[in-house]
Amino acid sequence: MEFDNAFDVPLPPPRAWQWLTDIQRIATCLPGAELTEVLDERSYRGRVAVRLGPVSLSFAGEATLESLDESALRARMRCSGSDAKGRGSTRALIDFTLAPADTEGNTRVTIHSDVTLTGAVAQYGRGVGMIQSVAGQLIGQFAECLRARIERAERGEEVVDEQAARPISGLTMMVRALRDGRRGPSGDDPAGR
Amino acid sequence: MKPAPFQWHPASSLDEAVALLARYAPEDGRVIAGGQSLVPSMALRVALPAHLIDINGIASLARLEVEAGRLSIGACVRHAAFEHPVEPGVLGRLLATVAANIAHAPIRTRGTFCGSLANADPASEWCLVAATLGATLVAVSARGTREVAAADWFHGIMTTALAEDELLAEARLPLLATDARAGFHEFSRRAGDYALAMSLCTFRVVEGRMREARVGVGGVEPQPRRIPEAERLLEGERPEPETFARAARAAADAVDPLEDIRTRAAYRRDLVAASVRRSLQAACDDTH
Repeated sequence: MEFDNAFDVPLPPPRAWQWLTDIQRIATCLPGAELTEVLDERSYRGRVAVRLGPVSLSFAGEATLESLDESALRARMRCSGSDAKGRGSTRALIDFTLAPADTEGNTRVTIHSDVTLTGAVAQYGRGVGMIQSVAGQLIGQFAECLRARIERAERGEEVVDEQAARPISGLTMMVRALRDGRRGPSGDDPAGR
Repeated sequence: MKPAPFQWHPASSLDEAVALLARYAPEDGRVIAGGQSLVPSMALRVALPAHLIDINGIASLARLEVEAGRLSIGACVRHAAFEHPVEPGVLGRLLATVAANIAHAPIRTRGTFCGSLANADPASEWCLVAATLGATLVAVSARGTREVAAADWFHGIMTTALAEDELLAEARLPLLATDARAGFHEFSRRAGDYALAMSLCTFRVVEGRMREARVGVGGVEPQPRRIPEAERLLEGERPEPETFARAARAAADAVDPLEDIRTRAAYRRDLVAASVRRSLQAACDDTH
């Protein structure tokens, strides 16, 4: 199924681009997500946990930045993952486009997603717009976290990002541990909880 | 099918239940009261909780009483408890009307009011009641107790403000004014099936004019909500079919309906117009 989402970033497009393509720096803003391994400069392995009523799902998989066109401010990411307990799997092709927002100096990020869900989870929730609803919530919380982090960075308050400072190839990192350890100075929980 | 193995933890007090939840929630420990949605999901092995914290033995959670102008509904109060008015006023009568639309009689003897709110299915009747009347939800955990307004409770399909270590211990509904009128209408393809659209309306009539109008719509968007565009068209107007039709049309225009393979957005929108018109008329006729 295909659907669209959008959010604003409080930076002009070229600078928003720098933030949004720094996957390791922003991954912790996605609620329930965990970046577990950096495969190469454009490929990542991770997990996303989702709770829907009585069901808790944990998808483990890979995400690859297939194209990254800085001049056009467009990026395409391909993701695939499967539930750890065999209840289904998902594939997604996600296109990001950055453009000046209505508010001067801000960027509007539009996201077009083409998601395929298979297995038992695909039938769960009677198929009523569940995926769009979950995607909308995740993106909303992600945007909120990202905005807060950008504003802190603009004020020069961002703490050193341990994980981004490390060499990226072949390194396995438990981001959750870092994230929890980083909650102190800002009092902010990047998971949005 | 049968559920995957799990450990059952009967709790005899609220303190014990939240302590168990604090311990087991990180391992997908869940609270069970009626199990209306949890148990079928487990039987289908879509839900695979490792631990169930059973709150049915906690006497204080069976509480259902009126105090200080509101109805307090404990976590173990079943849908069936509302089939006969739980209080002599307009609210008790409304809840009895709504309860008759929830699934079937055997399910109503198990499923709970608070369980419906914690599950937050878009088609839940009690979620619509909570959103429209402005319920207060009491979430308890080992960390403490907090109250959440219904407006802040629903975050999307089957997603709420309730944290994984919190238990929804009680829901509080404000009583309706003695001269309030209330109407509810639900459309589903078969009796007891999930609502494709439903609405709940309340207003008072003062000197022939509608006041304090509330129009809530459920089963249409990811979560139930009030529709201010429709409420505005009622405020200060006479309770007449033409006015109801205008407000119903405004509600239909204001919603962003969910779609599925059998139900197009345009169809759900039409159902909203019909449902709101009928619940407004039902409220108009609700003169005791």
